[in-house]
Amino acid sequence: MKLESSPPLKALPAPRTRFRIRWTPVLFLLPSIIVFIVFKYYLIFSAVQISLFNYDIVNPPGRFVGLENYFVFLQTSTFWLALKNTFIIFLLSVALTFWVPIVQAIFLSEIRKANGVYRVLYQIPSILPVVAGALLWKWMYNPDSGLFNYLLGKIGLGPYGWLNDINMTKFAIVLPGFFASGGIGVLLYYAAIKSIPAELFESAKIDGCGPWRRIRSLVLPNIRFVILIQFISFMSGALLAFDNIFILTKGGPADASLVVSLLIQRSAFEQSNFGMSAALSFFMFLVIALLTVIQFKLQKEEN
Amino acid sequence: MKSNRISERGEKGLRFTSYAVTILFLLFGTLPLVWLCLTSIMDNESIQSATPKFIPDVPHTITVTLDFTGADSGDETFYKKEAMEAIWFPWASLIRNNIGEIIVNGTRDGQQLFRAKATSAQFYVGQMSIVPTRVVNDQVMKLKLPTIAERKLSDFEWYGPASKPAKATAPSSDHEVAKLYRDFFVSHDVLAGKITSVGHSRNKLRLFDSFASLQHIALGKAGDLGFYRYFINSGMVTFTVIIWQLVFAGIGSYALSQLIRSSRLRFFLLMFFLATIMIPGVSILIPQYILIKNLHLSDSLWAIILPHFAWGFVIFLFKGFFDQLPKELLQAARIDGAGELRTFLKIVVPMSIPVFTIVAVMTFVPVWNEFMWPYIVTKSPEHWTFPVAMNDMQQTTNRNTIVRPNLISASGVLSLIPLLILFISTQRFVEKGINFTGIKG
Repeated sequence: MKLESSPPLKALPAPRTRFRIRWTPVLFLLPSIIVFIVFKYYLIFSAVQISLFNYDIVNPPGRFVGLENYFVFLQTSTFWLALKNTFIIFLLSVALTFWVPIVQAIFLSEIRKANGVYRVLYQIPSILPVVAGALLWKWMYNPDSGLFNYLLGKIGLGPYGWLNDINMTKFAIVLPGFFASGGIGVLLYYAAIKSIPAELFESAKIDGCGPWRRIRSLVLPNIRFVILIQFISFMSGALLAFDNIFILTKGGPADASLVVSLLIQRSAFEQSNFGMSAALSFFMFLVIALLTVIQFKLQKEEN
Repeated sequence: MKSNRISERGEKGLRFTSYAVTILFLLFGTLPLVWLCLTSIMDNESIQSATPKFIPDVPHTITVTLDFTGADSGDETFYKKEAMEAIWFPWASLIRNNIGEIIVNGTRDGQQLFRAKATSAQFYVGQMSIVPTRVVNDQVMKLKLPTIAERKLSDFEWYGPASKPAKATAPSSDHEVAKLYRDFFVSHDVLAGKITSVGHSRNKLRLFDSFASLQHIALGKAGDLGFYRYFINSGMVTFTVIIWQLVFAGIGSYALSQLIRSSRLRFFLLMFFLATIMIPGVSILIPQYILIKNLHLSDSLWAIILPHFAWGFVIFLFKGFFDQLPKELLQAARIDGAGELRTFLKIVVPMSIPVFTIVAVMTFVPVWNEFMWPYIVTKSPEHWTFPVAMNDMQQTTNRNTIVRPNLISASGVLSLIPLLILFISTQRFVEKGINFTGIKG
């Protein structure tokens, strides 16, 4: 076959199309690109800008103060207390809630009968709106007339102050998450476990490795990536939790549950200090970005 | 089958543990919800007492016959005042007794003059403005009559004299609550008429008065639609966001996945979208607030809707799915002369129902439940979404209404219903969709 006989192909207008803009993908992508620019990129740059000003909402942008907002909040004890509380609440949520859907999914994958029913049932607790859940728990925690002190009293414990007790309030904020975990996370882990090749399980069985060993050295390593992805979104969710804390305690008692996200809301909408609030929020963005990068690094090193 | 399976060491123990753990977690998860549903139909005394009851008690119905034979006669307003006194004063004093409704039949010379009724939905909403104190006299009730009429806090049917023969008076009941009712008027002599009988029964319908109360409260706040307003607001916000995500994020991700040939550009655009996942909502709260304010959109539903249009995670889900579409099929459609939009609508969409469902569900839940941003950006109740309205209800006094736990439960139950329907109806597609997304690992 003579390859030289193909000049007609070369003559096709290929070189022209390379530099011609194809409008269809542009049109398809344009709406998304515009909203992302306006509601993400513009806003995060704007956050940095506002944080450099003593922002005046009536006559924006107000007086330029450079990094002063950052220095000011870094020197207040309230900020460090809020940051400490934020991380304690985060660690408590890891200890109380993060592992729950993993365990649920692992044991769910061992159940063969009516598995779908359990999966539906696992969704139900997590769909209760955070606000409704927090309101419900708020009066279950009531020291005088709440359900918890009554039930614990029956077995001779308590009464506890729950949300009103400085030492207990963080725990009481996190505890509802334990009951309401499950949800779509269970489905994600379950799908990940089910996608592990069956041959691996079969050979593990033939090798006589027991079920606990199998979960530890076969299932967990294989769903590690899902765990990482879930942990990253869990982390930013827990570090910036607002709704439940706002409804349960509003930061009290005696700032024992004051977290940075409450501080951000407070300084902007109660003290009208928008510059400070933006500085705090950009600081939190940096913290979370840093933690995410560290995790990806750790993940890479392990591989 | 069984003989082919290789049995495992410790298999039985594992199966037992699996069932035990699963059932335990399901119990933990459902208990708060069961408590929510139970308390929504319980009276507050049972909820808040030091020894809570777990079974809702059917509320009491008190039926009173008030006879005006021989008393001074008056006009309709006079009888109305009498009826309201017979309802509101004793109820305020018997507030701990789980009364569901009080019905007053007024008679004179064997003719029925009027029939008045108040349900607990009406009573608890009006309690703070009608009977805030324990002062019992004619003057107080005269002042309150316009409020009762305006806020529809009681029903009053006027028959007029000599138009309707009275029914035979039911025998007085000796139930404890009926006795307490009679005792109240022994010590407080305000009625011109004479109580000839006090009947007692129970009405199961009154269990659900907490739901009706929600409507009564909201009517005064959020306009004519009342509580439905919040529902409609939440629904409109959620619906608009879902439509945007399905249409624009869907078609954008399709272009990103299949139509952009330059791999460098594709990578750049993908990063452009995905990097925004790292930006937490709280971090851009202030500029977002200022932007919405500058667009003159604050305190409107658009203020809640617009920021949800930019969701990197949805693009990630869509792209993960569209990357796996068979290229040959799309190529075939193009060769047949279908335009890109047509290819997308006729070929891609029907193949991608699972991913569209999962995007719809994953959009629905956070938008429906979102609290912080709507709370900050909306001020007037007619723009509140459901969670904002719920938060408002826990404030102890709310337009002269003491808000009670069972109201909060009732609104919680209502907020749950759309999500419950959504999850049960889409579970199948969601599970299918999850298997296709990139997150699976």
